[in-house]
Amino acid sequence: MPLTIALLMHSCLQICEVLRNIFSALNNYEDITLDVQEPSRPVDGVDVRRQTLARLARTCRTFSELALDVLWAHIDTLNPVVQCLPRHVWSRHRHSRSLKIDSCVLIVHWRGIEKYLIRVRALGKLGRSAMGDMSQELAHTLCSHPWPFLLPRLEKLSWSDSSHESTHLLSNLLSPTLTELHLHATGNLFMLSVLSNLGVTCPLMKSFSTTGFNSAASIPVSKAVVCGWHQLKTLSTEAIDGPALFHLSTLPFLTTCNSHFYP
Amino acid sequence: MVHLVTSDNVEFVVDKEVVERSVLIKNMLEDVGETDQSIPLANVSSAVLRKVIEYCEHHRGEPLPSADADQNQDETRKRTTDISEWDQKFITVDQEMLFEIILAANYLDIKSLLDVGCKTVANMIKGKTPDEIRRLFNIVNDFTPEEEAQIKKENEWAEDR
Repeated sequence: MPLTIALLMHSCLQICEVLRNIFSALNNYEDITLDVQEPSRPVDGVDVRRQTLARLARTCRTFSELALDVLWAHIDTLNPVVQCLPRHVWSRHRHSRSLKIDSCVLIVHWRGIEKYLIRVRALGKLGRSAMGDMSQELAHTLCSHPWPFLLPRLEKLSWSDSSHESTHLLSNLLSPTLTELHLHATGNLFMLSVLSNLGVTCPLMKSFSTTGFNSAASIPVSKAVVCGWHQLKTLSTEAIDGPALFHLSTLPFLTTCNSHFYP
Repeated sequence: MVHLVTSDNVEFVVDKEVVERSVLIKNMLEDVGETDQSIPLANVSSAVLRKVIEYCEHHRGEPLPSADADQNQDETRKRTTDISEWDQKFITVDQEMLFEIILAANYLDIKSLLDVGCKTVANMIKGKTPDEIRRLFNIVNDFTPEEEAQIKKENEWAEDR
């Protein structure tokens, strides 16, 4: 009788800690770093790291959840959030290739992608719009999610859009888990009202920077924002006033402050 | 000197400075203090421990990542994606030994060795299809075709050109 030896997967590949380490190595440990020093190297237009993580997610059940955790931990734009919705809900413009919405996003659709949204811990890349190539209409649609925040575990956000719709979308991303926010925007009124609540909505902020704001207009905002934070490590903003400066001087963890004093 | 006994009952006598690259053993020695007693390593065979000691000998004296290491230092460690030439030669072993070294590094808590092993496996996987990965590591596909298709569809953005 012929002897058949069934080779089994090595036990090493069943240890979560080891798998997470392998998958993170695959991603060059850039999963939650906005300041990407080594950009992804696309081959034929495909990011091989992300491609491999997506493939690992459908290799077997043992790999799936962990590979998705690493894949979704850091997304450069909100495009993946739209693209994981059912295919009939969205499409691409024929010429511009930008994303557009084709039908209503129902509650069942949102529930279907919740498993991905809760995995995102960082959104954006310095110097690139997190809105991706989506229309204002699509940005509006993304605000219709049924939860208090679109990405409930978001820790790091880089944002560089200033339109009304994009600011509305930004306000949907400011979850209490946020610890790092880099804003490059012009200070429209809606933006200023969103920012003035930041000290309350994101109390755990450790790193905050803005560029593009008008110094005088940003003063009340910076005061309200800065005075709500007690764990701040780095701050870079156009201008701060006396009370804000005094508050900063009392912060035990502050290492970097880059701003003009506005008397 | 520290006495280590492997799962196949082979005793190794190793310099304390070398063996303390293992956080597990370092903590054990700090808890117990100076002792002539052997430390049993029930999860590590002699062949694997020989390789682990070779690695620790080579990296003797290099700074260890401390438990209270500054986050930036940790980031630097993580972002150094290249494997040094010596480490590459060291880790050029058959797949069984590679996985055993990773298991031992994980058990003994030797982060730098665990990194070298995991980066090597990551390089083996990079760019392969699910079928190729399954064949490489003897993995049984336990997804239904529908489940696999669903995951593919929802994560197609990662494979977009």
